[in-house]
Amino acid sequence: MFTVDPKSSLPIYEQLVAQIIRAVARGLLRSGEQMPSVRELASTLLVNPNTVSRAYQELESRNFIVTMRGKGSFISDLPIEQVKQAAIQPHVQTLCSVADELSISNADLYQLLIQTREDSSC
Amino acid sequence: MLTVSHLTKQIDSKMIYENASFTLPAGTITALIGRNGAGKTTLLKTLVGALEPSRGKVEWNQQSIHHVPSARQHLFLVPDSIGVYRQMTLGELIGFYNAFYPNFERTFIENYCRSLNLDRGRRVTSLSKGQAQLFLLQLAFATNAPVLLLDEPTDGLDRINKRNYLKQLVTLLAERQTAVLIASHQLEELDSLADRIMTIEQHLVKEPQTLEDAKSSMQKWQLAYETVPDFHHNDVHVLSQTGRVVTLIVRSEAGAAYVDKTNPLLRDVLPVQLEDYFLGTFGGDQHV
Repeated sequence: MFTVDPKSSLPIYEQLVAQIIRAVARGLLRSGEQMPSVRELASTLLVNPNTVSRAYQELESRNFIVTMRGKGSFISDLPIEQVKQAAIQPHVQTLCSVADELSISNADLYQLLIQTREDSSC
Repeated sequence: MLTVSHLTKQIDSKMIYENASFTLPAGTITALIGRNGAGKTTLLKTLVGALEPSRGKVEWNQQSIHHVPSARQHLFLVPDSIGVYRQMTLGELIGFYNAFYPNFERTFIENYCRSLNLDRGRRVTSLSKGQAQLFLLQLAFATNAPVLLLDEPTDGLDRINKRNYLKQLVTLLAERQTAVLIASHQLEELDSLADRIMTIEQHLVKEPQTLEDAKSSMQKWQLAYETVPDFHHNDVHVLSQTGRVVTLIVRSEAGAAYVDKTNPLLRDVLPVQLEDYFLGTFGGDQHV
């Protein structure tokens, strides 16, 4: 369900955090559902177990998962809107920095956004 | 924990490596990188006690690996070639390590051989490179040694064997909190595996740093110019140039200031891969 790309500018643990939040936002992981163990996910993705632990710690500190000692980590019960916002936030961030780089005004960016959404929804 | 202090190896008057001081914490992977012939294999062999150091010491909980033979039971080295085991059968090899490691899990390795139909009478040299590396990793599991040293473990393995190998290694790390040191040139692989990076630069063993710190000590820039200038700075390493665009690695403030003065029209910051770090560190080095 998750993939990591060491060539990305995001560290692997941040990639995992973003993908897990996105999976929750899309309903692929539901509240109360158990996360794979650190060992399981690390050996599936062939990444360092400490990297997976770090992603889980980050998700826990942002309240997306709850870890119960000896039982594992579970998806928290959060309002779906909040999760969706968290999932799209990094993409909005990227969009804004590209707009900055190209000196595109807010009005133009907004226009482009509306136009693109209208074109893509049939 | 394994503690290495000021370890130095000279052969005749030739310096092989110098001043290695580091520890290997449980549950972490440290990657040892350097040019061919930098002394990586010699360092690993000194760590397990197969070679005597010229100076310095290697200790497991204050016990010298070189003076207390039983201290070596805490380490296992998987060499880069199976040459040392040439004359042995799998069964003999299992027996040999069973006698040396007090917590050896004989059933574990025997079950592994059975599951793959590896006959214990087979000679190690009759195995393919992939089979041999996977067998030696299982053997390492079986010893229960808390420190595992791997010399070029996935070199020459096909994709499937490589995946199997890394999967088992990651599982070992997660389940047993083994301290792992990998000497390798598979930088892409190490990029998603290593906690820390340790380099040997012109025979000098540098202190390990986290992968993140290593990468953030350098910057990778893509720069556009009206006319691309010539770069002459020790801390600026040009990776490529296509037309008016040049990609380079900068490894110090001074290098960055030097590039700033060339007044590029555009500057994009690119993510630094472990490979870039390697090129940035060793790229200017003319010694092969």
